[in-house]
Amino acid sequence: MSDAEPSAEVQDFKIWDLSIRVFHWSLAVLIFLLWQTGESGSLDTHRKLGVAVLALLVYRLYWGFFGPKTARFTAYPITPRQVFTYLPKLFKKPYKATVGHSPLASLSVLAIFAILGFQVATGLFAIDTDGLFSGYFAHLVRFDTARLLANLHVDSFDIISALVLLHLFAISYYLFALATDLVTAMITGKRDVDAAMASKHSPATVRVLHLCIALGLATVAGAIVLYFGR
Amino acid sequence: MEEPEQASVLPNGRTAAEQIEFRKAEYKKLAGNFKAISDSLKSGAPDMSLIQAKADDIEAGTKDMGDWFPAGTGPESGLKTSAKAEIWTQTEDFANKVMAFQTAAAKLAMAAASGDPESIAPAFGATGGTCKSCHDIYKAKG
Repeated sequence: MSDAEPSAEVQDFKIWDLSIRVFHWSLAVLIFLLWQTGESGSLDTHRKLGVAVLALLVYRLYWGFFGPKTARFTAYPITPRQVFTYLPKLFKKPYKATVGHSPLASLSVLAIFAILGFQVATGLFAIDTDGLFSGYFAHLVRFDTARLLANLHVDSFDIISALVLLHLFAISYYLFALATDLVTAMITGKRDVDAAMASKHSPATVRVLHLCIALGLATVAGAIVLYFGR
Repeated sequence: MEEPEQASVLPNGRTAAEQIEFRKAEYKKLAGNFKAISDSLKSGAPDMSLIQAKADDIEAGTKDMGDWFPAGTGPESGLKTSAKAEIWTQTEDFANKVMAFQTAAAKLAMAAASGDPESIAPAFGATGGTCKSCHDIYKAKG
């Protein structure tokens, strides 16, 4: 099957900058490890890994405003019109991959960001049922409150699991149903994109000053928890 | 009430549901005391009188822990409880685990009374260890 109208493509267009790719894969590994340590009760490791997630989220928040366009929350195509215009494309081949996140992917990123923020926040104040092991700031709240937050922390992991599964399902769907590989671009940063779409973007390159600020803020956030937490 | 519940009374005069509630409340109090000691120890400037009061409370409040699990208050009661059936099948081991906790709690109270911060942390850790070693076997997760 060939395109009815062969459109110009830009080869190897840079859509994901290096830092966002490192962020993505670090987060994937951390979520897996946090799940494992949470299940096995290795809570000392668990809470340290949680601090790493906090640092990543701080970087990501900054990057959501000052990173390249594909990382910017404010540039996400998530108006209802954009979402509804996009939906039919999911059922029509050939599918043309977008330069950054599609409308649905953008919503997914925001949802994951929000739930991870919630997870970190509840984890910081959570305590185990025996009152023996707690998040870094659990001493600031009463035992009952810390238990409530711990239960929320456990329950909301189901939402994280669901979003992770949805994420994996979506990647498989794009690959098998739409013949679109999304994973390679998250490794190399590059994707062949439609020339018309590419013209609306500039390649996702890292601005060093902003990256330094983002990493600085992330480090400060982690250090605050480790220094002031108990 | 749709079906007649057999609200049979335990030898201690409580119903199984009341006993489970009592038990949960006692463990919650215990955990709250643990939290208070833990928070204080980690503060960098442990409040010795607070730790002493909490450690005494732990010791005094758990002297009768062996009686918190009368027959009929396990999962077979149909009531919501994290107490596993093994408590009533491996009675000797369970009794030993409870005693190990009580011994550790007594040492913790003594360490707290001595006023030596250096000796409290290990005694506290040891007490927590006895909670865990029992819960690993006899307490359901979740």
